[in-house]
Amino acid sequence: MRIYHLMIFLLISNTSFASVDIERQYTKLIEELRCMVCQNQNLAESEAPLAVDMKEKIRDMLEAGKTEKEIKSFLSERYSSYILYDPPVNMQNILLWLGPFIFIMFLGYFLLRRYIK
Amino acid sequence: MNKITIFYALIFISVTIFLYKGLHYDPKKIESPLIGKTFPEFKLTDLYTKDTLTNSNFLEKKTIVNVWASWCLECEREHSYLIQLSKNKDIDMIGINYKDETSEAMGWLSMRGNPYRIIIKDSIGDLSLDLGVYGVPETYILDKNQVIQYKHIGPINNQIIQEEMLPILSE
Amino acid sequence: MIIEIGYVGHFLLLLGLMNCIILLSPKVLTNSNISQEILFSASKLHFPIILISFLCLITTFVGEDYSLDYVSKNSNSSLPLIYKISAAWAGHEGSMLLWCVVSSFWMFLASMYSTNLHKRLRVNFLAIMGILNLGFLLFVVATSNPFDRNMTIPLDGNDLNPLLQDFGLIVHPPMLYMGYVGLSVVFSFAVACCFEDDFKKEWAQWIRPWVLASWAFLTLGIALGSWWAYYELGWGGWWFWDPVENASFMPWLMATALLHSVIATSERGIFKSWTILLSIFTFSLSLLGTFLVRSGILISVHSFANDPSRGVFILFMLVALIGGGLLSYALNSKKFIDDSDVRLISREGFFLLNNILLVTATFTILLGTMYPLFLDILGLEKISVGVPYYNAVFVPLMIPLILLVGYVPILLSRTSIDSQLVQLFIIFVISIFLSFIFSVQSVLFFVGIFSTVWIIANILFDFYRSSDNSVKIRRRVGMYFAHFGLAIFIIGASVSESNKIEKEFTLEIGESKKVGVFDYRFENLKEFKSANYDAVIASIIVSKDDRFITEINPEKRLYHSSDSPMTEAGINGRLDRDLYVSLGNMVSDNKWSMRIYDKPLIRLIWIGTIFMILGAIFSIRFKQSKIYE
Repeated sequence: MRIYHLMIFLLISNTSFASVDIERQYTKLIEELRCMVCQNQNLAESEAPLAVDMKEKIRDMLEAGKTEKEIKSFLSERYSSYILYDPPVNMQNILLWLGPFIFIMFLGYFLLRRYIK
Repeated sequence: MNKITIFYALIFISVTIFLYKGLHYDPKKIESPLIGKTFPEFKLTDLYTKDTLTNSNFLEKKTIVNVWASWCLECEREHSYLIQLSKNKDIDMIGINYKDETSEAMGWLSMRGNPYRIIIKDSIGDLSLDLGVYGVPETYILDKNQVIQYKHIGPINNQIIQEEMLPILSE
Repeated sequence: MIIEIGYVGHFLLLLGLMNCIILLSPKVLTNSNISQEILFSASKLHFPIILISFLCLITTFVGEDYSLDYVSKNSNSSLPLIYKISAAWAGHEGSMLLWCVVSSFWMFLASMYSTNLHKRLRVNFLAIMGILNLGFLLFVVATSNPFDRNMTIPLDGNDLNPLLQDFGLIVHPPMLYMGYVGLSVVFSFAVACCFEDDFKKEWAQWIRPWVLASWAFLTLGIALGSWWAYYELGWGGWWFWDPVENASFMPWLMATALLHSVIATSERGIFKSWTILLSIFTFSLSLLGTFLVRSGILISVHSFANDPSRGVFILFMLVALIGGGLLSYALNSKKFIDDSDVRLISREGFFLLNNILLVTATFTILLGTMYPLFLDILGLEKISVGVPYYNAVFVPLMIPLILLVGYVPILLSRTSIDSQLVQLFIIFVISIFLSFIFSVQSVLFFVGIFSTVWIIANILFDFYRSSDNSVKIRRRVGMYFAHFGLAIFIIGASVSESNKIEKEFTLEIGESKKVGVFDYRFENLKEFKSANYDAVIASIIVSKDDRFITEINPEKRLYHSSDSPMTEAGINGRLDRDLYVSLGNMVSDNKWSMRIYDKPLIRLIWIGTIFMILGAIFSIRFKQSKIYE
């Protein structure tokens, strides 16, 4: 009987470990995905029916063992990259990601050359 | 005016043109990534007959797929246009009943007429998720190989049929 | 009686237009003394005209004059008086009129306090302010007139957007506009200086209080906006990197850069042309922000009625004003001769680094805000740029900046290397100790804590060393306050982010749930009826180890004029943590979904900004005696 209890205990603690991890991934994901029908809100903030459905789907997928990356590509294949608040690093976004770097080089060169002895 | 000044002036002018053009874009309009791709695979039931429906139930001709629900007010506005379109014998029309009560969906159609050859019942919304549906009603045009050629979000109207849909349907 | 007041307001707007035209008529701008007097009076007179026009608008709101289209769209007879008044600037038209009022007020001040400038500079300066005022007023009269009339007079108004029925609306827009438009004074002065032979350091001294004052207002406006969003939107967040927020943050960052570079220019006469360019760009970004927000070109969570046709008008103004300013600079910048003898490790060198980092940060935000639009126009795949992007590019820019801020006291007091190392060691020990207290796990948040300790400890070391030199302390007190505020802000932002707890679940009346260290019991649900809304108010009892801590009362309101329910979060705010509960949807009769947030130290974010504002106020020194020839 005690072993039985212990087994149940282990079972519960096991799932709860897994669920803590899923919970963390879930929270992160719904903050980084856009609610398609809202005015610039992420899924976490939104209570729109579509957002609620999507959150459910994301939770299901996480519980089915899907990774964050798989879920993101699953959704962006269907809803376009517009759904990702984290714009993918690709050719069309190259200026977005490199822009700040180029700019600071340019401005730094311009100002330091002009004013520094 | 030296070269650098002209360079900056050009930047200024192009930013202006860019902002001016930006005024005429609708920031909420998003191109579907599914255009050019095949209609997603599914296995669901028919609203009326409860028979299993799959991709093999599509006919080998131009197909309009319309996502609707009885609770959707906008669907009411476009319904007469769908009925009008369904009279064209070269076009197949399939409905996807999105997250709806079967009895209410049937009641809704019996009052307003049924333009669809078959109606796929998507009660959980899985197929619609695969289609990237985010606002009911939505209307798709598929070619005879089930490749998605066009998507419209929101109710269709005469202008959209004439200017956007008919050119694709009559290809 | 009330009907006439609408006409009076409209008439005054037209009178204001006339006044601007008189102010700018070529005859006035010639050098004769009498015509200059006309210019000076007209620039003062403009303020009372526009102010009274605005008061007329408020009167029509209070008097429920629904013959005005704007009033009928933004008010309602059941609205509480205070919101009837603030509804005057809740919509696009009225808020643009408020912008004009604020703009005329700054012109009034500029006219009053510019008598110590030499005549030609003063005339050019006020004429440019006149052009700005004319432009804004023309925009209001031509495209967004709040005094436009309804064809048929409705019996009652549509009501004010429930989100805006809040204290935030009363204070946030006026303060924000004071900041935005205050920068127009700086802009006008900088452009006027382009037409002089040189940019004298006395002039930089003259403009410095205006920069500081606008910066203080802008900071206050943004902080109030963020506080408002925090308690009103119900998501527990305080900054969303939303386009509307970015529109205010870009000029703020630029103004922060400017208020540093202007010190170098006013004290040593260096960075002259850079300071002028920065002044022009700072206000340009205020204008660009307004354009982005009002034209509907971007999607924002902060509601604003917008209309692309107005966008064309603002764009035209934008091009004319910014283009004019930049052209004046381009044609004249050769005249400003700067010494280039600055050492990198010096106060001025630090200003330069500060400027590079802040301007790049501004550029980054501009890029992130505009990039989706850019792709759209090129016909490429549309993307969203959100929090992950800004965190990835903005934070790396801020870390070196913060390290510089902390190093300033060491730099100024010329501490020896040995004692610098000792200080650094002490700071490390304190940071690690604090990280344990807050059980911080990620490196980023350790950096946050270290930055705070780094800034504050270095300031305290300097105070300790200079305790016998009160003159020195008094000169630095403004800066130290502002930098201290920044440190407080950083620790608030990083600890509340790293140690936040968020939970979403359903709870039945009588049930309780443990979130973090606290138990939350859903005690009961009461109904409440107000003049213009019905509400249910939940009572959530918070306890820790069966000890009562507090009661939180989140609300769900249904305004009579609107179909969608509004969430009013219940917040128990203390210095060390906020407990934040917002009601979701009713699942069944006694069962509600709700979200609970436990946010440690989040109040420090706003307390920090208060210190920053105080710092700016302490730094303002007026020197009105001199004539700046």
